[in-house]
Amino acid sequence: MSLTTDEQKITSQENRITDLENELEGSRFEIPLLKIAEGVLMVPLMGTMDSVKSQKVMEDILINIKLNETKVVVIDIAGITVIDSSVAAHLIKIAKATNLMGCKSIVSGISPIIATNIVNLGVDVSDIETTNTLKDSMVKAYNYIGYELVKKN
Amino acid sequence: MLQSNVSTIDGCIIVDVKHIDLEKENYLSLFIEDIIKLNKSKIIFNLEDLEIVTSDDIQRIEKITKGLHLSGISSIVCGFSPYCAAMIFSFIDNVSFETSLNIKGAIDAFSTK
Repeated sequence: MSLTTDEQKITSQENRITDLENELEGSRFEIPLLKIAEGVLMVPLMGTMDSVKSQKVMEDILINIKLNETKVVVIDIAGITVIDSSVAAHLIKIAKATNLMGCKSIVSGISPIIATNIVNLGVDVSDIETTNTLKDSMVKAYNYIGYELVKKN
Repeated sequence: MLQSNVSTIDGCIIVDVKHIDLEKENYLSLFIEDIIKLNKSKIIFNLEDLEIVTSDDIQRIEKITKGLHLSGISSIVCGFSPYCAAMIFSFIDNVSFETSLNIKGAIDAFSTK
C-alpha cells in the first residue's frame, strides 16, 4: 500500500519535473536576443518574469556577450505586465552580471507608472542605467559604441 | 613567488590567475610585491583559467586590486565565464574592481583612459 503511494508520489514528481522542463524549454523561445548592430544586443521582455525565466534570460545574455563580444545590452521591459520588487531584483542581478562581463546594460521601457512603482517599493536601482523609451536606449547604446544617430538630409 | 603565469602586452602586465596563488595564506603581499617589482602601472588579472570563481576569490581579488591602487597601479579583472557571472551575484552584492570581457577588451579600456 505504502509502496503504491510512494510510486504515485514519484510519478507525480516526475510529471512535475517534465512540466517544468517544458516550461523552461518554452521560455527559451519566448525571449529573442536581437543583434541590432555590431556589439549591441536588444532583449525585449514580454509577459511575466519569474526566477526561472529571469535566470534563463541572464544566462542567454551572458553567453551571447562571451560569444559575440557584445558591448551593450538593451533590455526592454515595456512588455512586462507586472513590475514588483522581485522583477526589479532580477533586473538588477542581470545588470550586475552583464557589467561583470565588461558589457554595459541599459533598461528601457520605464513608464511613469513603473517608475512610481519602483520608487514606492524602495528598490535601489542606481546600478542600472534606465530610459523611458526604447528609442532613448538605442541612442545611448549607439553613442557607447561610438556611433551617432543623425537624420539623413 | 607567484605560480600564475605573468606576461606583458602593450605595456600592461597580464596575470593569468591560478587558484594555488589565491589560496596561499600570504596571497596579498605575494601578489602586491611581485607585481610592484615589475615596475608597470597597468595590470590585467585574467580569470579564464579558473574553473570556478567563488565569493572568497572575489574578496581576495578585491583586496589585491585595492592594495595595488594604493601603490598607484590600475587594474582590470577579465575572463569571467557566463556561468560564473550568472551565479556570483547570488552570493555577493557587488564588486569594487573594474571588469572587462577579455584581455583585448581590458587593453582597449586602458588605452582609452
